[in-house]
Amino acid sequence: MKRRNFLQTAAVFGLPTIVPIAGLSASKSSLFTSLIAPESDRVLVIVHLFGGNDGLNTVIPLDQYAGLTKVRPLVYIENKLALKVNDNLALHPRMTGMQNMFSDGNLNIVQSVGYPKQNRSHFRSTDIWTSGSSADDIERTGWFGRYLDKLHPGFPVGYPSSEQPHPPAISLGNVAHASCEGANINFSQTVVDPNNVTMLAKADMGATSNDFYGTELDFIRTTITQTNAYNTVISKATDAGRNTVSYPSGNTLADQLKEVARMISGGLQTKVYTVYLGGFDTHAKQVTPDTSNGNHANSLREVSDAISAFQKDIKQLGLDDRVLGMTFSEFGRRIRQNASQGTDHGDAGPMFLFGGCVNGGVIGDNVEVHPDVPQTEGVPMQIDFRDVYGSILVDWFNVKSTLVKQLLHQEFKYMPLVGKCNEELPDSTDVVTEDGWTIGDPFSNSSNEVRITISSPSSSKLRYSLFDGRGRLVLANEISVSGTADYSLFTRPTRLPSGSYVLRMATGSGSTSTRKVVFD
Amino acid sequence: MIHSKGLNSAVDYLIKTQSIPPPPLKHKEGTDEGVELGKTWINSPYVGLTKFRGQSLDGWYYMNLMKSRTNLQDRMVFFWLNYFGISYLSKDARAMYSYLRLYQEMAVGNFKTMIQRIAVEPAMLDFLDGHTNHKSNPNENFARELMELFTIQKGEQVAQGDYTNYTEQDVVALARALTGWRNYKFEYADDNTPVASYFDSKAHDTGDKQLSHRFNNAVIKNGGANEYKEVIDIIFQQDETSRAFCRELYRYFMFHEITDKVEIEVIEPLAATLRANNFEIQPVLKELFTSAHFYAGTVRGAIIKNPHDFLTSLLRPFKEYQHIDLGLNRSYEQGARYKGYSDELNLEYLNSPTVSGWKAYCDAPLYYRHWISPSLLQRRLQIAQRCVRENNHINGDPIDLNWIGFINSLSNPLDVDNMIEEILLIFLSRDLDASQVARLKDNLLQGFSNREWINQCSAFIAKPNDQWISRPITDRLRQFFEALFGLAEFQLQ
Repeated sequence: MKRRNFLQTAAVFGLPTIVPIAGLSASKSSLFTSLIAPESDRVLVIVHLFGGNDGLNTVIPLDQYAGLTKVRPLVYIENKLALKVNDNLALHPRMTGMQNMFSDGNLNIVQSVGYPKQNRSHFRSTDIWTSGSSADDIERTGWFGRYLDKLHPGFPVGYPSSEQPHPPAISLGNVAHASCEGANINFSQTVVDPNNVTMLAKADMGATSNDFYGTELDFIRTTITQTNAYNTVISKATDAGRNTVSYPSGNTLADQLKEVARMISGGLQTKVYTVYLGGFDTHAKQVTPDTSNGNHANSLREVSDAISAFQKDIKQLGLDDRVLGMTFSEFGRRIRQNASQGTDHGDAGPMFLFGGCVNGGVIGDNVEVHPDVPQTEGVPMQIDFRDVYGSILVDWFNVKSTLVKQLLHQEFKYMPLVGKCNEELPDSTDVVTEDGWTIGDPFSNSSNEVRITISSPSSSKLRYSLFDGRGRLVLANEISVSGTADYSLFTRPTRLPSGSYVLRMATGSGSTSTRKVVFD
Repeated sequence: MIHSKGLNSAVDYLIKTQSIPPPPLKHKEGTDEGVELGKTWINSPYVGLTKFRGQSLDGWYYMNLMKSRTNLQDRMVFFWLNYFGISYLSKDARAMYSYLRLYQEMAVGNFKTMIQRIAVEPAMLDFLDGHTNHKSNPNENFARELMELFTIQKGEQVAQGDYTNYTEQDVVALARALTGWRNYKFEYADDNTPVASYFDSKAHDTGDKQLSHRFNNAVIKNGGANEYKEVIDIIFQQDETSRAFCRELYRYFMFHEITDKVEIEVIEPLAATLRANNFEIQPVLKELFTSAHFYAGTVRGAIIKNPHDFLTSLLRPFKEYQHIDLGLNRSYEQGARYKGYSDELNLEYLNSPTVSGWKAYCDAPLYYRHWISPSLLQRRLQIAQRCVRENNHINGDPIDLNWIGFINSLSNPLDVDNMIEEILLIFLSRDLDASQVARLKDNLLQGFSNREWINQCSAFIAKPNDQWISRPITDRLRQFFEALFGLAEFQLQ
């Protein structure tokens, strides 16, 4: 069963199935060498800031004060209060937690993210952001749901299974997040309080009538069973999990992230969690009594406090190479203020990516704020939101860019966003280790024997371990080496399915080298 | 009860035109200063704090669902809500009431008249951009959906821009014919601007509109304010329009799957009846509900309840909480709470997810199964628990079901087996198997013998207000109904 699952996945993703291993040119790009299989334990946390976050008061372009003071006289953040992240850019004064994350290299700011032909309706634009469609298309499935559909075709039929006992997605709250809408059903198990799930009465699984009533009844009974199974693993993970920091109180985002951290630490293998915070529709009294206080300041403090507590917790739990966070809001706001100490619906806005593996820094240029910008102008888009999503799929879930194009859009442009933890495997050229060994690229012969050319300075041992795409050790042994020769490492065991594997080798004196092995 | 009458008269009773419920009222003190408490606001300007009109509308809509007589009106109102898929959330409540009222009036009315009226309904003009449709810059949105979803429906694409039943040329022509309709600027107006649309001849395209061969190359001449009716006449001349509508009715009342056999044996005759009766809906419904097909085993009880059906099927047999005089404000709040329940179950009645309506009625292959998911099933159970448990309250005022009234309404509550059988007939569409009934009975008796039930229940009927006597019975009834409402079978109708 496992094998079948894996092959299905492999087929869907078109994993390379090149017979001669040595012929595989492992490029340096993280796309090819991360070897993070779809079934890895990496987690994405989507933070939805509903209402249209005002980007210009969140991420402040310090080189634009001539314009800002003109077009936002009552709303702009004073230069001296803004929290600098570099010479040109600063965060809102209430975002100290995220400023620290930036200094620690755990925060990436993506500037002016949006899409062409911005729709300024909350609902329609939310649909676009969650479905990953263009402004002109109605797409019923969610952007992450389409990815999950590739991993779990046919869901929910047959789930949970012994291989996939955990829900693929969890939405905190009552509503399954639209980004997780799959072809058949939303992948999210909604969880209001993982400490207190509602168990349904066990469904009677007796035979049902052989007609439409019977088939519908079977469907409902199966869902009941699935609900209870997922609730059971969620409860178990919540019980086993823990938090290592005290989260800020009176902060609904922190309340949710706290439970997410706890579920992950308790061993839940769910791939995506969604959390939600409203309150960003700041048409009026966005700032009061001064520009660093008011509704928007409170919301941003909530975001920053919650996310920085979460990041600290995740790090202390030893999970920060497994957890990536992403914020989004359905649009940014206008460049000019309105007449009510607020801002109206606009266009592009910043996104934050956070976690131990993000490439910390800033992507995109500062927003240009022209003093004569028209009242109706929003922040123009620099980066298509689907390129952010797609780059996350590439960097974080090792989805091939050809599939990303199919899932999101044909014009997909990759940006290195979260590849810091991805292992860089050497290409096919020989590697010289610190202790003077030369290790070639593994290759195979027709009898599925994996061989490697090694040159060792003395007679010694080479230890090796083979890991599958999920990082599980599948094979380990050692061989004796002496001088330069082609050595046989092992013959591919029939139990190992097709796919990519990581071969780790260690010389007698402990220098390590990593190579990729692909089984047809 | 319907089943005590002959089928014919029962169906007549079910489908007959029902009086329109009185309009929503101002229910809350200290709001909506231009309106007297207990009077309606549907024609009143927006003055002062008027935000409770939305709650009033919600409370009114859901109280109608709970309190109306057994009739198709409410079910057809939701049919239309789904059929036209208007999402008009958080807008002027008077305009929302206006189209709900239209749906009530036309619940079992004339299909063609309905299309004529919706075409110039303010919320529809706003929703599908008809109000911006101008001769110099035609907006095709409504014209397209009028054909694609509301009448003839899109057929297979057989050539570039040709959808069998109409072509892109027809979309363009119809959009031009529909130019000129505008809404008064009534949105939240504090004056007497009417909540209505009007025809602006200056915005109307007076040229000839040439239709394609799909409409026999008809030409629409300038008809001014009545031109939209001619458009509708032309669409209704095509038989496909009546077939498409009958399929929607079938899918809503019978089952989502329309096989070739159903198409020939059910849809085609119904469509003929619709045409023969000048698009009156009642004869079609009568034919459908008295057909052998309607009672055929295969489709009986196979529809997964939508959230409205779930709530009403749960509470209406108890007559909801109508034995308690909640007063105006609380009663509307309770209605608005049902709206909240329905929202949580993924049905926001004024916020259709798309112009095609809810997925349950248009999204193959899952259809009604969209109402069911792990989270939604948990919400269903939580809502059922809240409805039957003792600590239920509306904003602090306790409300409990009328247990004694319910028991007294049963024909033989002292005979526990007989009572359970009767309850299952009321609440479920098909029989349970014997082991399920036995488990439910265990939930009810919890160790009582049948004889003890007779004693306890007679005592309860004699002294329903004696806590010591009533509690053992009501506690058990609560358990029993929680178990019943948690059954997979209860989700079907």
